[in-house]
Amino acid sequence: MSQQASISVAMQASQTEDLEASVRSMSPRMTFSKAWSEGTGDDQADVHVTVAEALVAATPEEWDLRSGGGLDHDMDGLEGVVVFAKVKALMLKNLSATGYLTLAPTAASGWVALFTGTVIVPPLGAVVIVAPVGGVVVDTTHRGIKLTTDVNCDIEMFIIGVEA
Amino acid sequence: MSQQAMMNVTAMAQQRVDLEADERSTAPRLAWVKNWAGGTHVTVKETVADEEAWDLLSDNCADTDHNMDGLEGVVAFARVKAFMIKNLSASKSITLKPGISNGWVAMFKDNVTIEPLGVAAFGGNAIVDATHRAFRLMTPTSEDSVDVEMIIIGVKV
Repeated sequence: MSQQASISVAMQASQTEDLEASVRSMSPRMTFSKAWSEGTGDDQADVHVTVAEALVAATPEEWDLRSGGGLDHDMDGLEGVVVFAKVKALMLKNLSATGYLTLAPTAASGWVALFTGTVIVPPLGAVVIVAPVGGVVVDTTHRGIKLTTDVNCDIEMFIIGVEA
Repeated sequence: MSQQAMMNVTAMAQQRVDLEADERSTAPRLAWVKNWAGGTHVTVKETVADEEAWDLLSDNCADTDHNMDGLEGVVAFARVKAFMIKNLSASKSITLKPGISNGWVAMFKDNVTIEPLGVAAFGGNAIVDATHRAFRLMTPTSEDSVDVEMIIIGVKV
Protein backbone atom coordinates (compact mmCIF):
# COMPACT_ATOMS: atom_id res chain seq x y z
CA MET A 1 0.00 0.00 0.00
CA SER A 2 1.17 3.52 -0.69
CA GLN A 3 -0.29 6.84 0.26
CA GLN A 4 0.41 10.51 -0.12
CA ALA A 5 -1.80 13.19 1.37
CA SER A 6 -1.89 16.93 1.60
CA ILE A 7 -3.99 19.82 2.79
CA SER A 8 -3.89 23.52 2.04
CA VAL A 9 -5.72 26.41 3.61
CA ALA A 10 -5.59 29.95 2.26
CA MET A 11 -7.35 33.13 3.25
CA GLN A 12 -6.84 36.41 1.51
CA ALA A 13 -8.43 39.83 1.65
CA SER A 14 -7.82 43.08 -0.16
CA GLN A 15 -9.17 46.29 1.23
CA THR A 16 -8.84 49.85 -0.02
CA GLU A 17 -9.86 52.99 1.79
CA ASP A 18 -10.16 56.33 0.06
CA LEU A 19 -9.51 59.12 2.56
CA GLU A 20 -10.09 62.06 0.22
CA ALA A 21 -6.52 62.99 -0.50
CA SER A 22 -4.95 59.66 0.33
CA VAL A 23 -5.72 56.08 -0.48
CA ARG A 24 -4.68 53.32 1.88
CA SER A 25 -4.85 49.67 1.06
CA MET A 26 -3.83 46.32 2.47
CA SER A 27 -3.88 42.84 1.00
CA PRO A 28 -2.97 40.28 3.63
CA ARG A 29 -2.76 36.63 2.76
CA MET A 30 -2.42 33.75 5.19
CA THR A 31 -1.67 30.32 3.88
CA PHE A 32 -1.03 26.90 5.31
CA SER A 33 0.10 23.95 3.30
CA LYS A 34 1.16 20.51 4.40
CA ALA A 35 2.05 17.34 2.53
CA TRP A 36 2.57 14.05 4.31
CA SER A 37 4.74 11.31 2.89
CA GLU A 38 3.80 7.73 3.61
CA GLY A 39 4.72 6.51 7.05
CA THR A 40 3.83 6.60 10.70
CA GLY A 41 6.28 9.16 12.06
CA ASP A 42 6.38 12.92 12.29
CA ASP A 43 5.31 14.65 9.08
CA GLN A 44 3.97 11.38 7.74
CA ALA A 45 0.58 9.76 7.29
CA ASP A 46 -0.42 6.39 5.93
CA VAL A 47 -4.20 6.36 5.73
CA HIS A 48 -7.18 8.53 4.97
CA VAL A 49 -10.93 8.21 5.16
CA THR A 50 -13.62 10.15 3.34
CA VAL A 51 -17.21 10.28 4.51
CA ALA A 52 -20.27 11.53 2.65
CA GLU A 53 -23.41 11.18 4.69
CA ALA A 54 -26.97 12.44 4.81
CA LEU A 55 -27.80 13.32 8.40
CA VAL A 56 -31.36 13.43 9.66
CA ALA A 57 -32.50 16.37 11.73
CA ALA A 58 -31.99 15.98 15.47
CA THR A 59 -30.65 12.46 15.03
CA PRO A 60 -27.01 12.40 16.12
CA GLU A 61 -24.71 9.98 14.38
CA GLU A 62 -21.44 8.74 15.81
CA TRP A 63 -18.24 7.68 14.10
CA ASP A 64 -15.60 5.46 15.67
CA LEU A 65 -12.08 6.57 14.76
CA ARG A 66 -10.79 3.16 15.80
CA SER A 67 -13.69 1.26 14.19
CA GLY A 68 -15.34 -1.78 15.71
CA GLY A 69 -16.54 -0.07 18.86
CA GLY A 70 -20.22 -0.38 18.13
CA LEU A 71 -20.92 3.22 17.16
CA ASP A 72 -23.14 4.06 14.20
CA HIS A 73 -20.24 4.17 11.75
CA ASP A 74 -16.78 2.70 11.42
CA MET A 75 -14.09 4.40 9.39
CA ASP A 76 -14.15 2.90 5.92
CA GLY A 77 -10.93 3.12 3.93
CA LEU A 78 -9.62 1.61 0.75
CA GLU A 79 -8.61 -1.62 2.45
CA GLY A 80 -11.64 -1.90 4.68
CA VAL A 81 -12.18 -0.46 8.11
CA VAL A 82 -9.49 1.86 9.40
CA VAL A 83 -8.21 1.96 12.97
CA PHE A 84 -6.64 5.36 13.49
CA ALA A 85 -3.76 5.67 15.95
CA LYS A 86 -3.26 9.35 15.17
CA VAL A 87 -5.13 12.00 13.27
CA LYS A 88 -3.15 14.61 11.38
CA ALA A 89 -6.01 16.51 9.76
CA LEU A 90 -9.77 16.68 9.91
CA MET A 91 -11.93 18.62 7.49
CA LEU A 92 -15.72 18.82 7.68
CA LYS A 93 -18.13 20.50 5.27
CA ASN A 94 -21.76 21.34 5.88
CA LEU A 95 -23.62 21.13 2.56
CA SER A 96 -26.92 22.41 3.92
CA ALA A 97 -27.96 25.94 3.05
CA THR A 98 -30.02 26.26 6.21
CA GLY A 99 -28.89 23.76 8.81
CA TYR A 100 -26.30 24.13 11.54
CA LEU A 101 -23.97 21.18 11.91
CA THR A 102 -22.21 20.40 15.17
CA LEU A 103 -19.15 18.24 15.74
CA ALA A 104 -18.37 17.02 19.24
CA PRO A 105 -16.76 14.15 21.13
CA THR A 106 -19.12 11.30 21.92
CA ALA A 107 -20.39 11.08 25.50
CA ALA A 108 -18.63 7.78 26.07
CA SER A 109 -15.01 7.38 24.96
CA GLY A 110 -15.11 10.73 23.24
CA TRP A 111 -12.18 11.84 21.14
CA VAL A 112 -11.17 15.10 22.81
CA ALA A 113 -7.73 15.62 21.36
CA LEU A 114 -8.68 18.48 19.02
CA PHE A 115 -11.89 19.78 20.58
CA THR A 116 -13.31 19.20 24.04
CA GLY A 117 -16.74 20.61 23.31
CA THR A 118 -18.92 21.44 20.35
CA VAL A 119 -17.58 22.85 17.11
CA ILE A 120 -20.28 24.51 15.01
CA VAL A 121 -20.29 24.54 11.22
CA PRO A 122 -22.77 27.14 9.94
CA PRO A 123 -24.83 26.55 6.78
CA LEU A 124 -22.60 25.92 3.75
CA GLY A 125 -19.60 26.32 6.05
CA ALA A 126 -16.53 24.26 6.78
CA VAL A 127 -14.01 23.62 9.51
CA VAL A 128 -10.50 22.26 9.25
CA ILE A 129 -8.08 21.46 12.05
CA VAL A 130 -4.57 20.25 11.27
CA ALA A 131 -1.99 18.75 13.60
CA PRO A 132 0.70 18.45 10.95
CA VAL A 133 3.75 17.03 12.68
CA GLY A 134 3.06 14.39 15.29
CA GLY A 135 -0.70 14.34 14.99
CA VAL A 136 -3.08 13.73 17.87
CA VAL A 137 -3.65 10.39 19.50
CA VAL A 138 -6.68 8.16 19.13
CA ASP A 139 -6.92 5.36 21.66
CA THR A 140 -9.45 2.90 22.97
CA THR A 141 -10.92 5.35 25.44
CA HIS A 142 -10.74 8.42 23.18
CA ARG A 143 -12.19 7.41 19.84
CA GLY A 144 -15.71 8.69 19.15
CA ILE A 145 -16.97 11.79 17.35
CA LYS A 146 -20.58 12.82 16.98
CA LEU A 147 -22.31 14.89 14.32
CA THR A 148 -25.69 16.49 14.85
CA THR A 149 -27.79 18.80 12.71
CA ASP A 150 -31.00 20.74 13.19
CA VAL A 151 -32.35 19.99 9.70
CA ASN A 152 -31.77 17.13 7.27
CA CYS A 153 -28.27 17.82 6.09
CA ASP A 154 -25.60 16.38 3.80
CA ILE A 155 -22.06 16.44 5.10
CA GLU A 156 -18.62 15.56 3.81
CA MET A 157 -15.64 14.73 6.01
CA PHE A 158 -12.00 14.00 5.26
CA ILE A 159 -9.61 12.58 7.83
CA ILE A 160 -5.90 12.00 7.30
CA GLY A 161 -3.84 10.09 9.83
CA VAL A 162 -1.79 7.11 10.89
CA GLU A 163 -3.19 3.64 11.22
CA ALA A 164 -2.74 1.57 14.37
CA MET B 1 -13.80 51.60 1.24
CA SER B 2 -13.82 48.42 -0.81
CA GLN B 3 -12.91 44.89 0.03
CA GLN B 4 -12.78 41.45 -1.51
CA ALA B 5 -11.87 38.30 0.37
CA MET B 6 -11.56 34.58 -0.17
CA MET B 7 -11.00 31.35 1.73
CA ASN B 8 -9.92 28.12 0.11
CA VAL B 9 -9.43 24.77 1.84
CA THR B 10 -8.42 21.67 -0.08
CA ALA B 11 -7.60 18.24 1.30
CA MET B 12 -6.47 15.43 -0.94
CA ALA B 13 -4.89 12.01 -0.76
CA GLN B 14 -3.75 9.28 -3.07
CA GLN B 15 -3.69 5.71 -1.92
CA ARG B 16 -2.95 2.51 -3.77
CA VAL B 17 -3.29 -1.05 -2.57
CA ASP B 18 -1.75 -3.92 -4.46
CA LEU B 19 -3.66 -7.08 -3.61
CA GLU B 20 -1.54 -9.48 -5.66
CA ALA B 21 -3.51 -9.67 -8.86
CA ASP B 22 -5.87 -6.88 -7.98
CA GLU B 23 -4.76 -3.28 -7.60
CA ARG B 24 -7.09 -0.71 -6.13
CA SER B 25 -6.54 2.98 -5.78
CA THR B 26 -8.32 6.04 -4.55
CA ALA B 27 -7.58 9.74 -4.95
CA PRO B 28 -10.23 11.72 -3.14
CA ARG B 29 -10.24 15.47 -2.92
CA LEU B 30 -12.41 17.66 -0.71
CA ALA B 31 -12.47 21.39 -1.31
CA TRP B 32 -14.25 24.36 0.22
CA VAL B 33 -13.92 27.64 -1.61
CA LYS B 34 -15.65 30.89 -0.81
CA ASN B 35 -15.32 34.40 -2.18
CA TRP B 36 -16.81 37.44 -0.55
CA ALA B 37 -17.44 40.91 -1.92
CA GLY B 38 -17.45 43.71 0.62
CA GLY B 39 -17.02 43.26 4.33
CA THR B 40 -13.87 43.79 6.30
CA HIS B 41 -10.96 41.88 7.73
CA VAL B 42 -8.45 41.95 10.55
CA THR B 43 -5.05 40.33 10.83
CA VAL B 44 -3.27 39.67 14.09
CA LYS B 45 0.29 38.67 14.87
CA GLU B 46 0.78 38.10 18.54
CA THR B 47 2.99 36.38 21.05
CA VAL B 48 0.48 34.90 23.44
CA ALA B 49 1.75 34.66 27.00
CA ASP B 50 -0.35 32.54 29.31
CA GLU B 51 -3.81 33.72 28.21
CA GLU B 52 -4.94 36.60 26.03
CA ALA B 53 -8.43 37.52 24.91
CA TRP B 54 -9.83 39.51 22.00
CA ASP B 55 -13.09 41.45 21.70
CA LEU B 56 -14.71 41.01 18.28
CA LEU B 57 -16.80 44.13 18.95
CA SER B 58 -13.68 46.12 19.84
CA ASP B 59 -15.08 47.88 22.83
CA ASN B 60 -12.72 46.63 25.51
CA CYS B 61 -15.29 44.30 26.98
CA ALA B 62 -14.65 42.63 30.31
CA ASP B 63 -11.81 40.12 30.50
CA THR B 64 -10.33 41.02 27.12
CA ASP B 65 -6.90 42.36 26.27
CA HIS B 66 -7.21 43.29 22.61
CA ASN B 67 -9.59 44.97 20.23
CA MET B 68 -9.65 44.17 16.51
CA ASP B 69 -7.38 46.50 14.57
CA GLY B 70 -8.21 46.97 10.91
CA LEU B 71 -7.22 49.33 8.14
CA GLU B 72 -9.54 52.07 9.32
CA GLY B 73 -8.93 51.59 13.03
CA VAL B 74 -10.74 49.29 15.37
CA VAL B 75 -13.29 46.96 13.80
CA ALA B 76 -16.56 45.91 15.41
CA PHE B 77 -17.68 42.69 13.77
CA ALA B 78 -21.37 41.95 13.37
CA ARG B 79 -20.65 38.65 11.65
CA VAL B 80 -17.60 36.51 11.14
CA LYS B 81 -17.41 34.76 7.78
CA ALA B 82 -14.02 33.14 8.14
CA PHE B 83 -11.49 32.70 10.89
CA MET B 84 -8.05 31.17 10.57
CA ILE B 85 -5.40 30.80 13.24
CA LYS B 86 -1.90 29.43 12.83
CA ASN B 87 0.28 28.21 15.65
CA LEU B 88 3.85 29.16 14.76
CA SER B 89 5.46 27.26 17.64
CA ALA B 90 7.24 24.04 16.81
CA SER B 91 6.93 22.69 20.31
CA LYS B 92 3.90 24.09 22.10
CA SER B 93 0.20 23.79 21.40
CA ILE B 94 -2.27 26.59 21.95
CA THR B 95 -5.92 26.43 22.91
CA LEU B 96 -8.64 28.53 21.33
CA LYS B 97 -11.78 29.01 23.41
CA PRO B 98 -14.63 31.45 24.05
CA GLY B 99 -13.98 34.36 26.39
CA ILE B 100 -14.57 34.18 30.11
CA SER B 101 -17.23 36.87 29.87
CA ASN B 102 -19.46 37.33 26.81
CA GLY B 103 -17.87 34.34 25.12
CA TRP B 104 -18.24 34.06 21.35
CA VAL B 105 -19.63 30.55 20.89
CA ALA B 106 -20.85 30.69 17.30
CA MET B 107 -18.10 28.47 15.90
CA PHE B 108 -16.70 26.66 18.96
CA LYS B 109 -18.25 26.27 22.39
CA ASP B 110 -15.24 24.95 24.25
CA ASN B 111 -11.56 24.24 23.70
CA VAL B 112 -10.09 23.79 20.23
CA THR B 113 -6.49 22.65 20.41
CA ILE B 114 -4.07 23.82 17.75
CA GLU B 115 -1.02 21.61 17.81
CA PRO B 116 2.55 22.83 17.12
CA LEU B 117 2.82 24.27 13.61
CA GLY B 118 -0.86 23.49 13.15
CA VAL B 119 -3.83 25.44 11.98
CA ALA B 120 -7.53 25.73 12.61
CA ALA B 121 -9.84 27.43 10.15
CA PHE B 122 -13.57 28.02 10.24
CA GLY B 123 -15.76 29.20 7.40
CA GLY B 124 -19.41 30.15 7.55
CA ASN B 125 -21.58 32.98 8.75
CA ALA B 126 -21.46 33.42 12.49
CA ILE B 127 -23.14 36.17 14.49
CA VAL B 128 -21.31 38.41 16.94
CA ASP B 129 -23.38 40.36 19.44
CA ALA B 130 -23.01 42.20 22.71
CA THR B 131 -23.15 39.07 24.81
CA HIS B 132 -21.25 36.77 22.41
CA ARG B 133 -18.10 38.60 21.39
CA ALA B 134 -14.92 37.44 23.12
CA PHE B 135 -12.50 34.64 22.37
CA ARG B 136 -9.19 33.78 23.94
CA LEU B 137 -6.01 31.85 23.39
CA MET B 138 -4.25 29.94 26.14
CA THR B 139 -0.77 28.50 26.28
CA PRO B 140 -0.14 25.09 27.90
CA THR B 141 1.22 26.65 31.09
CA SER B 142 1.31 30.18 32.42
CA GLU B 143 5.05 30.27 31.80
CA ASP B 144 4.77 29.58 28.07
CA SER B 145 4.53 31.99 25.20
CA VAL B 146 3.41 31.03 21.71
CA ASP B 147 3.51 33.04 18.48
CA VAL B 148 0.27 32.99 16.51
CA GLU B 149 -1.13 34.56 13.38
CA MET B 150 -4.84 35.11 12.80
CA ILE B 151 -6.97 36.46 10.02
CA ILE B 152 -10.65 37.17 10.48
CA ILE B 153 -12.95 38.09 7.60
CA GLY B 154 -16.41 39.38 8.34
CA VAL B 155 -18.97 42.14 8.24
CA LYS B 156 -18.82 45.26 10.36
CA VAL B 157 -21.57 46.43 12.64
